[in-house]
Amino acid sequence: MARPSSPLRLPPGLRLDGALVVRGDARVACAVKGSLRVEGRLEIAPGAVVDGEVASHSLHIEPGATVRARLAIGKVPSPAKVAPLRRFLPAAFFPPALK
Amino acid sequence: MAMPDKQLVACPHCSATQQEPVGVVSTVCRACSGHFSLEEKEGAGPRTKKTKTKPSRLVRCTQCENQQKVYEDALSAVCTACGAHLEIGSYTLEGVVRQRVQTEGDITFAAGSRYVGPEARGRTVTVAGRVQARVRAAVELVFAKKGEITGPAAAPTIRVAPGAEAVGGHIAAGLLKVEGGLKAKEVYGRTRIEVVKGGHLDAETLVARELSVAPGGVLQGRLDTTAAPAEGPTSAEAEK
Repeated sequence: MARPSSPLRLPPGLRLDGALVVRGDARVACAVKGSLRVEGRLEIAPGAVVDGEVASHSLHIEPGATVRARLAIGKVPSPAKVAPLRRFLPAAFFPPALK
Repeated sequence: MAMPDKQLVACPHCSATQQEPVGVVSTVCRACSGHFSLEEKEGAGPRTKKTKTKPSRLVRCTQCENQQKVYEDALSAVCTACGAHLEIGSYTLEGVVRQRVQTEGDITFAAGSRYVGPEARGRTVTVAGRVQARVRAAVELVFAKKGEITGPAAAPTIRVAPGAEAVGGHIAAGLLKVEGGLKAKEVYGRTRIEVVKGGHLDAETLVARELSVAPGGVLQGRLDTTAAPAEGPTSAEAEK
């Protein structure tokens, strides 16, 4: 599956509850509770609140982000283990490759 | 009895001037406590006129925190403020060591060494052996090879050298840079935790305001950014 060229951006104001899978890179600035799995680079921006489990290929948590999570970085579990969260998100938040 | 004539001499270390009796061969600078010779060599001016000086460094008194300049290769000094004896030499420790290791110089625990005793304290501390004690470095703590620290370890910068398979207990750093492998119980990065390509950090608990893992790096553990104070801990907190 081709990777999206631009990262998935989750802007402030969103609140996600459940399991989210991202095929490429992602920048999270919203509230996420549950499981967040990013197969590329994950950036957690100031103001974001992440509570649960985070897995990604690489990671940058910026000062001002709130993260209380179990991290597994560099070893991303297989997609079958994590159910997607698309139903929680408007389609506009997904890059074309994920639609 | 007439007083001997005085001469004005300049310290080659800090350039401070002071009066000394004519004929003395050496003296101690009243400003920086550096020792210097006043003997004149044939065909040359007094040594105080030399422009090239021995490399020096700043050391801090463990009793009163006073800072003073000493020769880079000096092994000990006396505090100019409180008179305390200062251990400032650098040491490489091998085998089993039980005596106190506290210096303003550098300490290297060689591979295969084992240290059991009170807090080990130095400027830059490199651990390639096993240290069963609290460790504190004034500048940098380096985990190398199979370095292991079972007690709390604190330093402004803690670095895990490439290729290391290190083990730590409670680690408190301003900046933690992981280039090799480190398994620890609790890791506290006041400023930042950074895992670079080839680095592997496995900790039960991680506390940091900023964290980055580069592609090719591995990190596992439970992170809580809310446990890190906004301005970072004081040195006393880092010593916990």
